[in-house]
Amino acid sequence: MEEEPATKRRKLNNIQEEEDEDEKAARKADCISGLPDHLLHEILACLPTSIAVSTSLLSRRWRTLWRTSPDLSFTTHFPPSFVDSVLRLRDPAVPLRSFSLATPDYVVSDPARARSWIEYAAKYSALQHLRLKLVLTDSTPAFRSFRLPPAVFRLQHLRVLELQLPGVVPHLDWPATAFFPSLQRLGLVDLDLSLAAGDAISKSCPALKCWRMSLFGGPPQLDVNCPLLEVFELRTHVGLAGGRIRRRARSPSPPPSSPPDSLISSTETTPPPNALLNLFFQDYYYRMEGEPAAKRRRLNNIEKEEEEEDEKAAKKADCISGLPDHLLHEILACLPTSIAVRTSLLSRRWRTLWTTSPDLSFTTRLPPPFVDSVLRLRDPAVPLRSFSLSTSEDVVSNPARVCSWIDYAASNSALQHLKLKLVPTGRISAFCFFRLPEAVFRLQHLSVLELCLSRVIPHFIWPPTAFLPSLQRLDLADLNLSLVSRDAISNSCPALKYWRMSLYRAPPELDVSCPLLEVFELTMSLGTAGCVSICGSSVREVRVRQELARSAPAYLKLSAPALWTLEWVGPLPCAAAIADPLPPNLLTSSVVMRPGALNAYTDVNDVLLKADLSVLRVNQLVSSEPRITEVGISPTHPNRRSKLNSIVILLFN
Amino acid sequence: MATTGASDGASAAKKEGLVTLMSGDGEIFEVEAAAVAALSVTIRHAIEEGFGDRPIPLPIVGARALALAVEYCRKHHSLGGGAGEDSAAYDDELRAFDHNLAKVDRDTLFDLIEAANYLEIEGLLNLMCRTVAEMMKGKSVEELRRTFDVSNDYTPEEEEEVRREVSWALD
Repeated sequence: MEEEPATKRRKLNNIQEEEDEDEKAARKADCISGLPDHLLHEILACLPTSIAVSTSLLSRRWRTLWRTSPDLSFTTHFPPSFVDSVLRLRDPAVPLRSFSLATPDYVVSDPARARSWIEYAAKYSALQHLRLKLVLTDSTPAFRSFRLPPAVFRLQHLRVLELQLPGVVPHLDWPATAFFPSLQRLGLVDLDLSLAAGDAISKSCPALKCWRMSLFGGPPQLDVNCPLLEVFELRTHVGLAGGRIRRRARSPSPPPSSPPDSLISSTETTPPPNALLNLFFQDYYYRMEGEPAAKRRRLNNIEKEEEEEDEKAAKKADCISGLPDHLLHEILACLPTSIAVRTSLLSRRWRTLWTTSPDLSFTTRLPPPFVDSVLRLRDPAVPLRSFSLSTSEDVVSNPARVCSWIDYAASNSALQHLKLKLVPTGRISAFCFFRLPEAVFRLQHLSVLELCLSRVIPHFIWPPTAFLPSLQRLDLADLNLSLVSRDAISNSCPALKYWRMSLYRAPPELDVSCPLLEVFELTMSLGTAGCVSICGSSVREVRVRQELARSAPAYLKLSAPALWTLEWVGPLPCAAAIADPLPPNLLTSSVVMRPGALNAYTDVNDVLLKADLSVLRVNQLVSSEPRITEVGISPTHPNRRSKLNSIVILLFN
Repeated sequence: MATTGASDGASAAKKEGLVTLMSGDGEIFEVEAAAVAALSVTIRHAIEEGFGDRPIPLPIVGARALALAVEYCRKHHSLGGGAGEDSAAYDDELRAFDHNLAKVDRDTLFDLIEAANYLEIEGLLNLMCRTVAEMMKGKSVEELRRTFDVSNDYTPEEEEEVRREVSWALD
């Protein structure tokens, strides 16, 4: 007798456990492939490309994933044909973010081949990290006359540049035209460095923070005066550490986190460095110990103070042009493109800045040639981040022209924001047969899509092939929407958080089942909402408005355990199915009725019961009435689950 | 509250949930770790790397900009949970706070942009960039140069050439 319950329990436990295991297995099977592309790319970025390519064997999900990865890293042993194949097969439309190449020269016997790889990387102006390590062995002297492609020294967005070319580039002439406005980290290893002027590197790299060099022979004079520099390290193997090193920085105190040896200048085979260098070290260590500012200033020589004051004056004279490109682009991103273009007149610094801006916004009334000129003159190598077009069709008489602009935007697979607003004028126009390019609905990185195409596209059919894995916000305005299946949009947009629609005519059935959805809003300007089924564990706001709906009441299915606000405007739904009781944290649940609707009922509780609304826990009932109506309220209805606590009746004539 | 003043940081920093920040000009700030770490990626990383009881140096951030940035973090953390402007928590009070913060003088504005960029506070950076953009709207080129004291380094010939280049964009 005593054992019986135990065995029973065990049996029950077993069943429970089996279920748990099934669940675990299911979850295990899908723990990585479900991640959005950009996260998987972040993971691939940490791997050598050889491993990234081999992930294509994992499953369909992974098949072409590596081809759209923005990072390439050839750092382990590989045959040259491997690099060729990778560069041939990867999607050239995806801009390269980082490129690493580390190889001994006997692997690549042909310098032209190595150069072609570097050229491939350098043609992407969006490149942020470039690491090249070519180790010379004596066997292949063909590399002795190797030169880096000049395009490398004009990469506007490069943040990290590391060159280790022992003997391959025996003498690196820092090009006088080199300009890296975004470079933060520079590493030059195992080189003979020549400079056109002592401050050539400082001038080329205005945003440099960390500068490390290990040289065979240094230039005769080296000026280190990048305003943001935090760490400077110089080692020389053979020669002297330059005749003279001068350092000037606006705010040079380096983080004490870095160990003291993070700032090293050593000459391994020569006597100690000269006096100027010593002074510079003292300065550094005083700062390290956090001496009070006053004392620190006394230690510095007068020349330095003057220089600091000069800098302050220069800074005041122009508070904006000194910002790095990416910050100026953030500012331009908040402006219509027409103003961004005009900044090119400000000064040389601004002349071509707008052409590398990743954002375009045509929102004021613009002549079509303006848009054409911008698209022709902007740097096509800079991927578009956002594109806004708001225009009325009387400005653009030719739909093909508008289509070509949208095509331009949609051809950038990196596009994150797309806003299109085409407003019709009264006349029937050529735009009746306008279609959006298919490519719009296959933008992998799109996070915001707003379409307002009132009557331009009279009948908008959500493409069955649409797949927008990164989309977080969808706004469809002034459309007649048709769906191939009720869950077509939910299936196309797995990451959706905000979903707003304002429609003339809704599809008869609509499934809202995006797992991350937080806000759903549906506004009907003519018909009814039809059958709406909303299901999601993150949904916190649901608003359905159908002010002018006459008959054919809508049907509502709702399963939202995290709901805060529910608003229903228009005729009461003919039926509402609530999967679970509404959550206790529901703040407001309001029903706004059409004028006169309240007349049909004599008892407010009647309204709630007849409409099956008690399950919605309506606590606010709003109605606008042409005249005072008799309304009976019986406060204690036996079956009443509703928490009605306010009735708002608006009277009008 | 941020306490600004002498660096008696060593003992004070041991208080629970506080982190010590040191501005580029050497001022010490003691702030709630949770608030700044939620908004600033840079400080979050610094705390994770175990700065804990030592002051975190922020070399290019001035004391005034840091004080404002900290205030921004604190406000947005307590009222909005650090969520962006899309969130339901971005209410009128936060909107008013942001609106007031954007009224700082020009130099502070640019110090704040650099501070937000260095501290990686996305919301603050966006707010300040929008503010600068607003200052640029509806101004002629000459007015723009005056607003930001941009010195015109074009030669007259060059400027004429640029004007021709973008003539399609000028009214």
